[in-house]
Amino acid sequence: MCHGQLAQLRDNVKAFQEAGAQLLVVDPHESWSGKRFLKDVGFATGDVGYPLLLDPAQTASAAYGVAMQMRIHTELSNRPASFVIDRQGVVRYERRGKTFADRPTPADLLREVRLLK
Amino acid sequence: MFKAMLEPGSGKIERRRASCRTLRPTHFFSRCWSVVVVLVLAAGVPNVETHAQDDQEAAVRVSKILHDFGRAWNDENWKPNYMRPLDDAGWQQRMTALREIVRQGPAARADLVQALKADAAPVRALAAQALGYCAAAAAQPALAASAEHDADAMVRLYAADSLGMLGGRGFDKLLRRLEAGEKNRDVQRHLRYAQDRQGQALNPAVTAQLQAWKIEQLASAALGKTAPDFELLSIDGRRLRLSDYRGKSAVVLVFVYGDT
Repeated sequence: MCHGQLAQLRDNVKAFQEAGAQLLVVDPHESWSGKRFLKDVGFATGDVGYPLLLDPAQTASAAYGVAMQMRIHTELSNRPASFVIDRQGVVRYERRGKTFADRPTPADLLREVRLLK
Repeated sequence: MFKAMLEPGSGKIERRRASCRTLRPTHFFSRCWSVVVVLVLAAGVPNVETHAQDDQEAAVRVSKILHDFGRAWNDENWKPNYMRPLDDAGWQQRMTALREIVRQGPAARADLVQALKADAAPVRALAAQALGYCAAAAAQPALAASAEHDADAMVRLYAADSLGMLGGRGFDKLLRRLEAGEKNRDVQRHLRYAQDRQGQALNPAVTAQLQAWKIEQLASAALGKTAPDFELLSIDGRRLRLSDYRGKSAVVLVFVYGDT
């Protein structure tokens, strides 16, 4: 979990809403470790402003092709990825990162949401 | 017999152990896998004979899964790369094998414990990981031995995770000692996380979710196609489905980088 990314997304929740999109963030931790991590990086649980979904079984992550793919810390972890899904539930944008920092900015994502219209 | 099944290709993996140890630790946050203990509570009077037969069948399946996995994870996808290539199918094999083993439940324990001594490091790592999901506390001494003695950092790391996931405080002292002596920073962190659980085992719902998951969903998200649905709990305990938003709102779905 990256504090910078969580904060960046939080700062754009309203912009996403105004563009007609709900932001959902998926993290692969168990709830106890997810909560502790949020606390460690200075967030209260309710602070993030969007549903922070936990996927410790990695089943949602695997469906989106991002589970257990980064070899950092000698282990296998999710790679960062972003998807834009339209109102009909169809995937209209996808980006699966090649490194931990390879991800679209909120502005990139907003542009993709606006393209849906 | 089991060891012999795991022999193919193991020489290559042996050579790679040294490079696995030299993986550069990074300062980015790492987290442990979450793990689960499945308690199978047999209702009524158990039919011992049937159970023994089921266990035997499960053991055969687990041996085969581990064997196939050991062969599939060849030199190419076990490089200590920062990230494996995007077209690499290794993660799918890993996810599939993990899910298949975890579906066997506690019956997989004996074979998994034996596989902790396999020649191939990827097999030992997978066995260590799977034990956290599908074994009972009886697997903890074997995991403790792997966390302490395995030559491969990744195996030690998953063994530490699973030891914690199986719950209880019986290994706190050992975990503390290993943390103090561990040279690999990442493994050291995970030895810390295992203690941070304070005895809390993995929520059995996590194992159940992995067991129930349909493998056809694997990597099924694609441009222009209906997004695979999922139901997850939010960090504040709300149950959300992706399809709840259908017809109401577009969704920006972000998977944050997270090592598990």
